[in-house]
Amino acid sequence: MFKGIWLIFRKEMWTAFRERRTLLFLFLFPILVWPSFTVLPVLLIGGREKKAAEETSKVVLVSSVETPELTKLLRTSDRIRLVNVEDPSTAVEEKEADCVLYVDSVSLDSLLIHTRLRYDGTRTESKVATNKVELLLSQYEQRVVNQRLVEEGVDEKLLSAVSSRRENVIADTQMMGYFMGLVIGMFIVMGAIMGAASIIIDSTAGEKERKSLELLLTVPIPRSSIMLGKYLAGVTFAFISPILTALGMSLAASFIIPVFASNTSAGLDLSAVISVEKILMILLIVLIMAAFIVALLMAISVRARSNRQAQTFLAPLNIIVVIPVLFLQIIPAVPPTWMFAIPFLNVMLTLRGLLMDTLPPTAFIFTLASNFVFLALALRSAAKGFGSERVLLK
Amino acid sequence: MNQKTVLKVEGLEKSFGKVKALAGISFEARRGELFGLLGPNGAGKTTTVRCICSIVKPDSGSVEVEGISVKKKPLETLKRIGVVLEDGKLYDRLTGEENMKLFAQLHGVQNIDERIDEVCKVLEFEEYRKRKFKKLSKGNKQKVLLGQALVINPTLLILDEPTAGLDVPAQKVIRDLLKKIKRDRTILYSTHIMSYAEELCDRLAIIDHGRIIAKGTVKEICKKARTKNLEDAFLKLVGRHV
Repeated sequence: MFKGIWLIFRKEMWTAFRERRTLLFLFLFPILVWPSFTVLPVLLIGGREKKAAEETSKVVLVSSVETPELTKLLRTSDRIRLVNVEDPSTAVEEKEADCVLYVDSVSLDSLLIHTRLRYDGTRTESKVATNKVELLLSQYEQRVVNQRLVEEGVDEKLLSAVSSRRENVIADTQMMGYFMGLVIGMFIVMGAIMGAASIIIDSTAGEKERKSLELLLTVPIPRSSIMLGKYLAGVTFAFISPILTALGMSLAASFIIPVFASNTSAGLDLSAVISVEKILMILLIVLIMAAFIVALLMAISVRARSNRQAQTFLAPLNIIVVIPVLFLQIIPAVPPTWMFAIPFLNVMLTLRGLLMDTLPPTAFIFTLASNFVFLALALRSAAKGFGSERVLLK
Repeated sequence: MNQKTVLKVEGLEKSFGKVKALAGISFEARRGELFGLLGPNGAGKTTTVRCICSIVKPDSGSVEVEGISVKKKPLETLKRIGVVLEDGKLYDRLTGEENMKLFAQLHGVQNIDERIDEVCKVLEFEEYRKRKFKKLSKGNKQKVLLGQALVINPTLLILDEPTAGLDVPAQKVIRDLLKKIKRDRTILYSTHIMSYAEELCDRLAIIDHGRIIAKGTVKEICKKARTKNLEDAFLKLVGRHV
């Protein structure tokens, strides 16, 4: 029996490794494509924002009223630089300035001034410059109002009522864990599906379509060995793919986190988030999940007539696994235990919990148990398909 | 079971839902004999082959290969059977030789490399053995299919429409090969082509609507139908054009 399983397993691995598409999904996507998709937008958008925030923005001031205090505030700010241009109305479009501040009086005797900011909503530098100017205008307004109230005889102490400071109860390493758990969890589940889908579809529906499966059923080994050989090949792919994805994403994280950290003051030390113990727990969870996913893929695709039909049958699965990601953002760091019984979501929650150091031991066991139950059900369904003449010969 | 009998099929019945595919098929194939299973499309030839190879389970009746019951010991009987199925394919990404090797390993064949050498020589396939299956011509693909069945040195070789989809020269090659390999083994040859059955088969059974309507040598069947050739006998016995 074991020899039969081994021979079928080896055949599946052999043929899969000779398929360019399989190698693409197994290596190129997890290591290069997905991390790039995650890193590039963050680096491009976050990096530009960070750069724009650090650099001095060029602002044109067009004032029809005397506002020496405001002009002084703008001039002395190290975050913006007032520049002169020939035509302020086209300065933003021509990129001579990041934004243009127009200052007008509402009426001659009014104490109120009216400001208008002209900027380019598609340009990060322009939007950042506008934020900076708005902050300065807010400071200016506070200062002028305070000054007027003091002149009217109001005690200066009365002008401030609230003093506030933010304190994040989640530690810096936990914040990083939260971020990684959110992103990596989804990619690990999707990685397992994408890694195994190709080989499972090909070895079940594909073989049915080519009629090689029928011939394989005439060899003197039990049908269960044929199924298990194919299944184990799928599990291997479903296990390797998310591991490579996690490695790729961790590498990506080392690029992203410096950008991310400047905005959230999260720490930069990855080793603080992932210990050897956690890695082993993650590997165990990924292995059980891979075993479940492959059994599910097999149970579905063995019932398809052709490669194409199997892909159609499996399409909803790709959507189903994204749904937990949407909920993951609103689920608290320590969710109720029953949530760890929901397939796919439990893996993402466990990974997030492990990375954030908020996972109760019972939740880990619950996730393992839940995946085992679903694995058994899916495997039973796959075995039923493999044992059915109607399914195999349709 | 007669000592010479390699395959014994008795009262085989099989239904797929409301469709009765086999309604009591019985025949025997002897050692060293090429036994033909002749019938129009949908007559029940492939279902009979599938029952013999344990791909489907018959509703009733029995199949024995060298006296071993297919129902009781399916794996034991499969060790003795080499199969070429109608429209069957092998693995595109493996070479012809690798495909043969895989089936030899799955059958637990000893001295695999020597067996493959022998089979490739018989099939005149040596030149193409290292070529991937998908890059082979239809005729050569059929040779690989025959090769994977022969490499296990089967007692019973089952060929279900082995010339289907082949061009005329390729069909001739396969027919010549059958003549060459029929000497030392029992072959169950399922076909709907009368001339091939007449040319190749020692004995045959005509099957229609899941029943055997005639059985014997070509001569005996022609005599029974009072016709000069098998095609006329077939049309007369089946009672319609196919």
